[in-house]
Amino acid sequence: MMTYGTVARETRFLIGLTIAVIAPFGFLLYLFPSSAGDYWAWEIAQPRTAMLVGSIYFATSIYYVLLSRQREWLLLQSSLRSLFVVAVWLLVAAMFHWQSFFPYRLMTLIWLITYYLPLMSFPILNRLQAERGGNAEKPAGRQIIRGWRTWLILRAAIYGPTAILLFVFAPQVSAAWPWPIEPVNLRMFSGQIAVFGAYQALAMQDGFWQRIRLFMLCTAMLATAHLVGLLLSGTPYDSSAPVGALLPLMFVEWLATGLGMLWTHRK
Amino acid sequence: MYIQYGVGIISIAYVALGVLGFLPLDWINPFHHEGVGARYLFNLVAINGVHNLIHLAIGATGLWAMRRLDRSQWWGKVVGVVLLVVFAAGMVQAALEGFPGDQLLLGLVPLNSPGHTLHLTTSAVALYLGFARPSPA
Repeated sequence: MMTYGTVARETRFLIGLTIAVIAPFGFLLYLFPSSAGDYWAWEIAQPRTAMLVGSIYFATSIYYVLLSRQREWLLLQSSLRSLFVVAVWLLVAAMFHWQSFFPYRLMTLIWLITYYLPLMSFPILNRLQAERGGNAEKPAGRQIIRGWRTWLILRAAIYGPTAILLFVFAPQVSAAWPWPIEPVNLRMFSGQIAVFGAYQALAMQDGFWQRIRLFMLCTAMLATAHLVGLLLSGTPYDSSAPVGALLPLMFVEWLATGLGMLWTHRK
Repeated sequence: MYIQYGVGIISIAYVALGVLGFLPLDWINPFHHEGVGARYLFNLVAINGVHNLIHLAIGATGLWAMRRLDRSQWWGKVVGVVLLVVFAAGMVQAALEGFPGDQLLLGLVPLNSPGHTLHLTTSAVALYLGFARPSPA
């Protein structure tokens, strides 16, 4: 039995609103990357950079549609926490690079609201869900296999510091990147590494598989979107650059971990 | 009660914004010479002394209101409407001035797009708290 309370109407509204915003973001950046400079909130010069940034919106819009179909708060809690983490990370990145933003583009206004809103609303929703959950029982069901738990912790120990170092040294890393990229975009991208590389180790909490099942599916979808983006965008790719081999390797690892966990926990 | 808790969360955030805004530290509030000449809180939200006092007033009244449910809901309604009006006025002024990097509302309060969106988002959350159905006791 799995009852941590059903999803409140307000939580569903936040998820619906998130889908309504990030789906167009993903659609535009991923499918029309060449003209990102004409519509996006900040400077993006290369189509591959637009796809790198847009992959997260593209994959998570599908993920949030799947989340919106869930009835148990337990299955959503970790995901909404990740939205909170992303919101903090990206707003801090925006603080460093406000001069790269186009202040009154519609995308800028929507983008800012997209990340202010989880910061204010998530603590309230968390409290609301706890109050309406009643006598919540501890979840029962499949536990994450011990080997996978260790692996999630190990990769968090690698990706967590990597994300922080990429954020801090974005200007230096941009010189080692396999295509010309602005530090603002590297700092935004470092948020993806923090959430999809490191955050899962925290999200698994009591080890209940259902907590992170959809999150791992999203990790695999995001990795696929990134790999397709690397292959299809027209920007030249310098594979001899220091990060040239590491980047696809990281996406392959995300894909393998996501699919591997889904496969081994399928029953 | 989540309504009082929510009012508390917003209030603490606004008190923090108000206090931090008064710190003359360039790494927190760098001064932007272009435009109206204002400090940007966290390099995002244009502020000055008056703006900081308004943030402090919103936060302090919220901390007072959060002790009772009826006061919390009144606070949500009032702050929600006031910030919605400030957002609308700010956007109209920005449109009339050709969407500059920042602006002075009523010649007193510096505003820019991170500030407008913060006001709109806070307004939406405050109005929700003002009209939300309390959890059963």
